[in-house]
Amino acid sequence: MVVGKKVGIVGVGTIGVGVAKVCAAGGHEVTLFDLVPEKALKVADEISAAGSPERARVAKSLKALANCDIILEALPEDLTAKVELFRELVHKGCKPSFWATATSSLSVNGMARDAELKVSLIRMHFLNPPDKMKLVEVTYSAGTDPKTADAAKEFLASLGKSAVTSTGKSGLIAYYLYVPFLNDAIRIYEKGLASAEDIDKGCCLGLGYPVGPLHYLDAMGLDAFLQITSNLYEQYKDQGFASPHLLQQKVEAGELGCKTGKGFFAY
Amino acid sequence: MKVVGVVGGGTMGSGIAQVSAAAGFQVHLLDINEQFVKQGIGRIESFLKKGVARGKVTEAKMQEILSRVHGTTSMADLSESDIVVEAVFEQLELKKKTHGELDKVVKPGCILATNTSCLSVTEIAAATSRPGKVIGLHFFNPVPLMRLVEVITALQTEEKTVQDATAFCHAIGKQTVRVKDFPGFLVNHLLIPFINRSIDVLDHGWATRDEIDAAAKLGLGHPMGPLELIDFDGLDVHHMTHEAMYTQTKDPKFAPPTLLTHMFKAGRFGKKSGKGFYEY
Repeated sequence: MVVGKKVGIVGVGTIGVGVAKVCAAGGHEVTLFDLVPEKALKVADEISAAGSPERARVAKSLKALANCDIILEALPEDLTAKVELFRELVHKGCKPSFWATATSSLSVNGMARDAELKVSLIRMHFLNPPDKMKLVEVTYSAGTDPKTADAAKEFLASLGKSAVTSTGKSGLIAYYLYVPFLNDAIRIYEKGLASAEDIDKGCCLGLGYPVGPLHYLDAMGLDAFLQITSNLYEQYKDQGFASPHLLQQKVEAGELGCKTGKGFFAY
Repeated sequence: MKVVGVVGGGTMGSGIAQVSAAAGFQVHLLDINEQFVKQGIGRIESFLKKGVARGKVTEAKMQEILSRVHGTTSMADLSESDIVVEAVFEQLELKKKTHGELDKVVKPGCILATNTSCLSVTEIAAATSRPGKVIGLHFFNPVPLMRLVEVITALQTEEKTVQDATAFCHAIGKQTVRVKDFPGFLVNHLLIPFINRSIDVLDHGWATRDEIDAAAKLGLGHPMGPLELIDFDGLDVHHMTHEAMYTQTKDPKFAPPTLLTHMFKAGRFGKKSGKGFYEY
């Protein structure tokens, strides 16, 4: 089992935070960077309080990630921002054994090419919430050698995660199935065919899901989901990924879910 | 409400009869011949016997429940029912015919409920002279264990019918969601495209059966993977449901994928036939 890897995580949103905690619990040293340093500090404090004080620190600049073995980006699903980040990290002298992206909706090859990365970029799509869900959807950028792929798999195993890969265009399984489900749940609500409460109750009691689709969306952030489903639609022109009008309206109105106090439900 | 009629002694019908009798209702269970009636009551008995063996139900309680289930092959015996739940095969014409006949036999205030997962409740209601008293009650399999009932309001359903049918579901220990009559209602409308996409992933060879089911279980927290679920429900049931939803919507996301159709035609119905996506 690999332990003691130096893992750099950029972006401490829901996924970044969850992955940081999982890495610390798995015996790795985590260095967190976020444009809002207070967010990163809060996470580092939480990890310390959970009993691993030596396993989390906050980087004041990207340069502080230069000695990391693995660097994972968990920024919002914006290709330009991710590509710029990787370029900046290379410029600051980062030389990880492989790069990782938490993207669920962008092309790994496209990202690696645009960022002109010299070593492999590996998609590690941690399902939400990362501390509860065991699955990671993995996609290797073109030319990833077997040794690097094995190293990535070993790293994920050290976190207690199961990796799955899909050779389909999107490289996804869970989201390939679930994103259209979420879009349809929004449409049922949009058309007034059932209430938000009943849509979630029906899925929890009828299908045994741990959380209903509309609560899942509110927790993820409707802006994040709109970005994901739009990215997927743009690339694959699959109707399942077409975003419902109501989703766009809610994002425009600033009703983004739990984080703003209102989404499909009030918080 | 005191008296419940159930039409069809299959898996769903016997389950509905069982939970109704367990809640204290007098139940008349109708099927087309003595053998089917016997089998229906036999299903209830064998379910309850397992409960007795596990110490969940007493022998006396089992006898008491069974004493409230009255099997019959004569629809006239359902005349005193306050609500009749029809659970015949998922065939629109059969359901319309059954409701048309029930309509002539049951008392004026009786609610006619159809247990359907994918057929138009509005069309079934239109086959009776009391469309305002017709409603959909979609129970889930196995009925004694699954807590949900989808209460489906047809275009014609009166508000009082909705309230009374919902109260009946609560009285037999179920939780309800209220949905309008649209193809697949809430649960199947969302589930069927999800299932179809999982079959597509497998058929394209993008991922293995085990990876697909693991993705849903470990990534989304689902109790069963989609391929396991199809095997559990039955590929025959799924094929029929997907066809029915496609017929109503003409939306390809509901159409049975080729692999599902081929497996259905080859008799691979899943758990019940010993082979589906998995072997049993």
